Amino acid sequence: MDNRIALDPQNSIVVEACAGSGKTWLLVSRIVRLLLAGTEPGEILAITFTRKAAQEMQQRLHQWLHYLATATEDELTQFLRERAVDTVDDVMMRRARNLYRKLLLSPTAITINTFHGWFMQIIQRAPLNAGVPVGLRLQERTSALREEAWSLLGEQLRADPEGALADRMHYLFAEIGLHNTRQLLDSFLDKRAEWWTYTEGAGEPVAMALQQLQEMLEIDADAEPLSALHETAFDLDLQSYASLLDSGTAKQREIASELEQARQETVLALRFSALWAAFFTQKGEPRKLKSIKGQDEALHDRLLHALQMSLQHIQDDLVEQQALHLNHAGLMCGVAYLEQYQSLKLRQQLMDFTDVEYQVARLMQQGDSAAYMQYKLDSRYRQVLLDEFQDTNPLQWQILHAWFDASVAAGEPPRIFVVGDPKQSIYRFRRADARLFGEARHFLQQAFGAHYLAQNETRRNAPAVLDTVNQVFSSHPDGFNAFEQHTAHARDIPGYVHVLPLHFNPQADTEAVTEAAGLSLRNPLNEPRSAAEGKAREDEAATFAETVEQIVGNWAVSAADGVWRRAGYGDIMVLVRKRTHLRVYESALRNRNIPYITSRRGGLLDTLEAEDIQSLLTFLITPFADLALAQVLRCPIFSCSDEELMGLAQDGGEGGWWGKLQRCTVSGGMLGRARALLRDWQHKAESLPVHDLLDYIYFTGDVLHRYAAAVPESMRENVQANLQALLEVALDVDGGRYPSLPKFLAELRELRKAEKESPDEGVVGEAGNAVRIYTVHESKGLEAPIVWLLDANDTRAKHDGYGVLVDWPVQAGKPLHFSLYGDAASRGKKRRPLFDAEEMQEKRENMNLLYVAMTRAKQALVVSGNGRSEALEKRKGALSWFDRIAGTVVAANNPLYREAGGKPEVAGLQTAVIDPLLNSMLPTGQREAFETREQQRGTWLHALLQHMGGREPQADREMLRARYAIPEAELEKLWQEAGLILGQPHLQRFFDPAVYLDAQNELPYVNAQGEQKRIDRLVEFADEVWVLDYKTGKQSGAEKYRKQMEEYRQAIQHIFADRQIRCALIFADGKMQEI
Amino acid sequence: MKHTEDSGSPSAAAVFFEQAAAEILRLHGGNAADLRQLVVVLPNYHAAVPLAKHLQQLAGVPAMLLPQMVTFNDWAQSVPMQQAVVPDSQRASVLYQALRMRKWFAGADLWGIAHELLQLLDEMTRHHVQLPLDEAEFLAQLEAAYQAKSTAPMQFEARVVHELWYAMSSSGGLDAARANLQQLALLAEQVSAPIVVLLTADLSRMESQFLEACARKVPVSIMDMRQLMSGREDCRLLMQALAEIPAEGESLQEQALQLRLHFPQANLGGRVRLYAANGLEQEARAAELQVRRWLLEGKGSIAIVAQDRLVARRVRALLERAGILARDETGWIMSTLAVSSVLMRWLDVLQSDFYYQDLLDLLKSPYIFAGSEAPGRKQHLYQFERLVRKHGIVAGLGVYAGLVEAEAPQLTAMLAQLKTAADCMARRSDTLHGWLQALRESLSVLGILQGLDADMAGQQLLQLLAQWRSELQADEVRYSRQEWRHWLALQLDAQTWRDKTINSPVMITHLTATRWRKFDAVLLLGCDAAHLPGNDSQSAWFNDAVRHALGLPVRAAHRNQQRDDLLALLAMAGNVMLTWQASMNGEPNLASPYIELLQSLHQQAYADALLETELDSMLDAAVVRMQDIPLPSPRQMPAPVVKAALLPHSISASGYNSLVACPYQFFARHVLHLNELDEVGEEIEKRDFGEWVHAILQRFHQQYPRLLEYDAKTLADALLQISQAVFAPAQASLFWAHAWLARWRQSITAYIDLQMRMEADGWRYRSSEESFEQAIAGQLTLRGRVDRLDCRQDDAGHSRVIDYKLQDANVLANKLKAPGEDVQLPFYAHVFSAAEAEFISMEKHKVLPVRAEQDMQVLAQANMERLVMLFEQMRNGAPLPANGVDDSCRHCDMHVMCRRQEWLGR
Ligand code: SF4
Repeated sequence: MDNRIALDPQNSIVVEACAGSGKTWLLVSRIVRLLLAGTEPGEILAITFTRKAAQEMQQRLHQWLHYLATATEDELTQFLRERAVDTVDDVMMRRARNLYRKLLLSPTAITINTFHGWFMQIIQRAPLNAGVPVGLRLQERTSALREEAWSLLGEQLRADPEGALADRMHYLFAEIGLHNTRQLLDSFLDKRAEWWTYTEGAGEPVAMALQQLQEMLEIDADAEPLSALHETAFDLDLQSYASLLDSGTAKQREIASELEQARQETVLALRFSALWAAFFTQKGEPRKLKSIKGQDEALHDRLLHALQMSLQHIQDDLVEQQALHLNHAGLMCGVAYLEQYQSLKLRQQLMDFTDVEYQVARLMQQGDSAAYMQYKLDSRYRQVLLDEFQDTNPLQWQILHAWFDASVAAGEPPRIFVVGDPKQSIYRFRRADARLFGEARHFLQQAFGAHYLAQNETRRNAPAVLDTVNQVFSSHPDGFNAFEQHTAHARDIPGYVHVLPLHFNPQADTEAVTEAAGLSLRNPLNEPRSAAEGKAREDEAATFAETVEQIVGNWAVSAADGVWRRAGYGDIMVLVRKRTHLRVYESALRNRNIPYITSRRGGLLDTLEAEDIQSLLTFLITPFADLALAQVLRCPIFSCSDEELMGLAQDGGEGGWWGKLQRCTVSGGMLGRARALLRDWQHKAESLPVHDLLDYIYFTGDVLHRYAAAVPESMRENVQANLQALLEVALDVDGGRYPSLPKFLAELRELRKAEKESPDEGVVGEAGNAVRIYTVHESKGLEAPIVWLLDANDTRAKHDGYGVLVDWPVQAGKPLHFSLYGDAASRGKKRRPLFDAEEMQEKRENMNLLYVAMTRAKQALVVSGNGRSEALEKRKGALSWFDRIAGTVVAANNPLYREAGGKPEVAGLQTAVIDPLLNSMLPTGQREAFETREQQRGTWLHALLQHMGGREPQADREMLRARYAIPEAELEKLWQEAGLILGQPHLQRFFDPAVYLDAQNELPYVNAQGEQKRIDRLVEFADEVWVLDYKTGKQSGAEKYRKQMEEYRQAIQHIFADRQIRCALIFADGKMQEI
Repeated sequence: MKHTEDSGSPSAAAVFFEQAAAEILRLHGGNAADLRQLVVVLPNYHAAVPLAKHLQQLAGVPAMLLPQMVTFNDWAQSVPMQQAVVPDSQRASVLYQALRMRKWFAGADLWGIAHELLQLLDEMTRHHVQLPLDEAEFLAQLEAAYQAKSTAPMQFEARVVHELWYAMSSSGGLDAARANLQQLALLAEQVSAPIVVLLTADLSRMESQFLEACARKVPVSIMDMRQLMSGREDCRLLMQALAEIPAEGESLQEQALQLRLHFPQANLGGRVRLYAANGLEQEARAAELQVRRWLLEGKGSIAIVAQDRLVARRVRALLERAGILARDETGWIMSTLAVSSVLMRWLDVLQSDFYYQDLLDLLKSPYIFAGSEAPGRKQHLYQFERLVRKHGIVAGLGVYAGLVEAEAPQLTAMLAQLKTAADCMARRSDTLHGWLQALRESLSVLGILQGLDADMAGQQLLQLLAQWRSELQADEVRYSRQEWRHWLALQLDAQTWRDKTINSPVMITHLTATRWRKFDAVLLLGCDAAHLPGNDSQSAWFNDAVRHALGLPVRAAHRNQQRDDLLALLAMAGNVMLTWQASMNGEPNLASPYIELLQSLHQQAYADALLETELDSMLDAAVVRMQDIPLPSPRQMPAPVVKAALLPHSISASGYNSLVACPYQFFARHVLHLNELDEVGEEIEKRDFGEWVHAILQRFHQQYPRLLEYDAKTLADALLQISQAVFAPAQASLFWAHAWLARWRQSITAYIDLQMRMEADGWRYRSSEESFEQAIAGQLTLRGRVDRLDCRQDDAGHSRVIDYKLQDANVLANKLKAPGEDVQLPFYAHVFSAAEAEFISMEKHKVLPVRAEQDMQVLAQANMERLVMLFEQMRNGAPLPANGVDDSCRHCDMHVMCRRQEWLGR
């Protein structure tokens, strides 16, 4: 591929780039070229698929620009040459060196973001009259909202149980049951953007959708397909056929009489099912009935065919009609559910991702709005870069399309750079459509004169690995059309592909229990129940772990600089399609003490340690929760033994286990500790926010250490990370509005229910030297010297659920088809092409996944799998990943094998010698007593005096009350007190500006020690200066103020050296005492 | 002594204070002991302390009357106004009303818009933006500023701002922004003393105009930190990295070279360190450790600047472990405090018709029923909760009241209080003042008022409520409950509460609050690109270009201010550590551009990237820990020996099943008697469904003991009718119950069909739901209840027990495959001496009998013998191991007791 073209800022470009070809390199290189060419950072918009990718791209950009700023001249020239800058002169170099600062200091930042992030920017600046609700907050987690919308729908239905909607719902209950109904309607909710787009502008969306469906299925909702049974022609054929059989064998005569009986049946539905049973097998295949000798074979076959055709026709119509009914009911209920969901969000001023996307799409389609957005954002994009384009969904493409159109209309068309790989499209479940890549390419070539470039050279994979990839995909499996052979950039890297034999379950001993000597039942006290299932997987796991050890002992990989080094755990990346069985493989690793990390999504709250903490918190607010308390006692925080628990159980008294524990007289030991700590925690739970409470518990209970000590070493880090993660969840959740412990626990319960949105388990360390385990989806963008594809023989079960069928061709502005479907039997024939197309895409995606998985491997690819039995293996229809790879691999020497021996030690962090003081308490700071009301009153009185007694006698009472937050009830009294003081005749001279020369309140001064002090009121006369100090309360104990006043006097004397300083206390009752 | 910024060792800040002090004295000229005639404008009052000290030292006088030291705001506000200021709460209501009338924003959050608009209008006031009288002219201005042709959205934007601007300015009254302007204008007329201003960042336009006006009358001197810094050689690097635009084309390397050659003293290596953490916890731990190290070094004032508030909270908690209290100047948003929770929860309770979760949450608040005694109140609360859980009540004050009357009269008073309080709030719409008044009354009834009054944050909350009440007294706009609530929520979001009672050398503060302060050490948390510079909230109005054209501050100004504050902080603080998370959840996270700039220049100039290198290796060891007892050792599979006294004397079929599946499970459930807490069922579960079906079939068979006497249709109708009757109560309260009925209906025909065939085979229904207790082998009694008992038509002694199961027949058949693993049928068969026993599997259209392959009597016999033997062994001290297999463990709630995962690994 020609980088000269791809990186030229003047060109618009579409690149189809294979895995490992350096897409990020290309993208960031282009950004560097743009900046070099003088594009302002704020004029660049780059969109990637994940936040992580965006961050990595930013990071790479910063690193490169920093490199440019500090590189030697040669390095710099080299760098630029690699990026197709031909003439590197002084000016160019200077510019290159200054890009780093320029980027960092630019007033408008470069936008490198995800679609969602960018959409949020747009929506915040949306035109105010666009009908986009203003000021809504983004809600990322929506499952709780869904639940609530569902129960609101239930309430709506309950209020009108006889209404049309309830009627439709009853239909669904009867036909498909509650579980499937929920599944169906949830799918509908998932596809709401498509639904809105599909029905846009329709007055009655449901009616419109049904109308369209009806036309496609060519059937009316109230048609009577069964009436065809009445048709004379059919009946005559039936009669003739029956009488033909009547002359035949016993079996034929039996059929004849069945047919005759069916003809007599008056209920059409029953007649149909009788006939159907006679002519079709249970699987719905036409029965192959034959004439016998002596019968007119031609007539027999003609009649049979005609009858079967008619019946099949009726059956088809019935199925389509059923689909229509399902749609009628499903759409009506779905729309009602959706309405509840939408209005719920609106009431709470929330919007979700789908809303954002849909609203932005709508915005872009409104005449003025797209144009408006061009200038409303602070940035004007002149260069747009789109990464991973194959993961774009139709709505996103529409938005981009409209954006581009509008910028063309505004006379400022940007240059566009698209990079992607349809072979790596694996996000259909997020509504991505790989076909958009072709469409975008076409559009950009037409409208922007874009160049199209293909890159099939990879810098990642060794030739050996690549050969396997080429072989697997050059047969164009499952829609993998137009696969181009990949070539390796570096031809001499040794590589190795290894396929392990499949593992099978042992054949179950069917006649295990021969009861010759009577029944002997298992004694559960000394013999656990046996389980044979899953043996194959366990065997695979064991082999896996064993082989990993061998790899680390005996393999070498080549490092970036071409030097060989021994393979470490960190060089191995393990891929699975689904996490379902991961724990089997993990425990095999653990058994061999092999370090690994896995990003277990969503499982945090279900781990035992997180359950413990949840139970502990539950107990604190629900002390009668006996099991929760018992669990807390058993968990490592207290690690009570069963004997201790039995001791408690023997107390038969009141108050549940908490009562027992409180009565328990054992003073030391675990129970005593538990009693004391739990009481303390109960008390703290009243006043501390959840995070602070948890932190206090972790600290006073020495929680992390106790857990670490109680679990096997291989779990230690994991458990600690999880406990830590839970603390962070608390920090996050209780930072929200209106927190409380019950609410926190309720939120955790909800999160736990909503699997997909549940918090993740704690991350253990950075990758370090550990085997990394990912799903193929997560592995996107990653690579490793050695990749192990686990459980590769799993052929995915066919999708047979309830859902939404959408046909949205890439060129179309909206979906052409939108309908609901049920199980396989009820999908009908008319929609089959659409279903087939879906299935094709699904299969293709499965191949894409395999492509992604295989291309992660730099040097070695290892594949293993398991199956139920060899016999089943032979009979299966579809090829598994395992089969496909195994089919291409021939045994070869392993060039990575280097006899080395021994398992490497996992190095721990060196710990420094610590000042022991850093292990002890360091009491610092103190809490002052909470100001008493009396003290507060003093402060307030001061304030009033200060304002009323100055040059502003008209001080605004209300203003003072507000400014000093004086309670209404106090103000009146204080006001009077202040008035009393100010009204005292003997104090007049201190408050009447006509009498004194000058006066000041709250006068600050510094003393000789540099300390700052404050004098309540200083009044100057020609010959003397008065220092006044207000005291609340009555005149008494003036003595105790003497020292303070003396200090004032001395200080002030320094300043007014020529005048006499007099000091006095003024009390709340208006008395004055000079000191 | 109060901790002040001036305690501890001298710091880099001293030189700046000296310069400021010198300037003040220079300007003053006269008697150095009395500076009262001077005004010093400070960015905050903390700066006053060190300044005073330096003044006194420099002047060398034993005592000094200080100049008037004041912030801009306070100075302006000290000017009395003739006209009363209209509070913002009142203006928001007026604006809300205006928006409501115009119907511009359907479905939108009008309070949010109103607040944003008010902000915009105030900004326009403060920046003297004058809108042309003519809307079209304004539109033309916008066109020019946007550099775009006018479009409908632009016209709308122009119209909204234009119209509301004039509407609000003509509504009379003086708003705070205008008042502030007037006060400054008055002040500028009144000034008579020289003015010194201490700055770190740019003045606002309003402030600089004011100072210009003052400068015409009195000397004004501005001490701008940036200028002071640029005069100092040791600040060269800071200035070059962060503040100065490099000379045209000067490269980083060239800059670095100059610094190295000419300004070695600008090396920050001795004072400044950067710490890149791997995640939040590490950042917090490192920060906490650094604070403790500084304290041990004797640093007297340590600031923790909370760019990232989450980390700061975490640090604060960690510090408290070591007994270190920090003074928190950042405070808490009111709405995140428990005192606000109780208030909002009360509103939730009202809105959800006393939904049990909200209600219990409210009742568990420490602020409610403050008058009554805590232990008694708690007892009542727990009694109430048990009652609610036991009866599964979801909502409805009346429902609770009925229950309480019947079962726990001692709780009546509590519910009556709730009722009275709810009555206080009963209304559809009211003025804001009216709502607040009602709220106060209801809170008083609930004892929450008293509760809040005993709490510092609570007091502030009460003050706020009182303040709003009084501000809004005259406002007559009526609001629905929903609108009012939303208003209240926004108000609580806008307020901050600070705990001022802590006095400590360690303080947590904002970047802006560090201006001209003197710290021995500073920890800046959250120095990543997202937090430094932090974003101001973006307004939906206009864009930067337009704001600039109108004369409003743009975002760059906000960012520059933060940069200047950072610069000043770095120049003044003794030691600084800046931390951020270089990775978050495994994703890279960019450092602040300021850090990158600083680091790269410093690295080039002095070959020191300023990275902190000591902390990492100390993190694990340098912790304060409470280790009062020895640590537990790794756990093994438990296998307790039951104390004889605790061994149960009777057992049910499920108890026996439990013993067979896993002896430890039996131990936890039947020896320790542990059970899950009752949960209030908001959904129908399979268990409810099972109970209903059992009830239906019991009724049905009692009414129709002989099915063959009827035709199938009659029976199906009858069974349906009974089913409907049984489901009716559930359907009345939850619509989804219909679905379960629909599911059960599918089985009716098949059930009758099966039953008729069984009768045709000679079986007869005998009884259902029969309870039993039967002693076996001396100390052990079997107990339970059997679903159904049939017998032979011709031989009443030959019977069959039946157990209904709403499960697939294959699943059940599997359970029965291995003898002795599911003991239910043999258990019942033994009790009733039945020759046969079977499950009836009912799953949608399929209703099928499922039997064991073995002879039931033999099976029953063997099972009983085993049971007796097991009890014998347990009595003799056989341990009960936790040896369940995956299948048993998957749904076993005793996994929290056996701790299987801890000794088996997951
Ligand atoms: S989880 Fe398994 S081992 Fe533990 S008690 Fe339950 S059944 Fe037994």
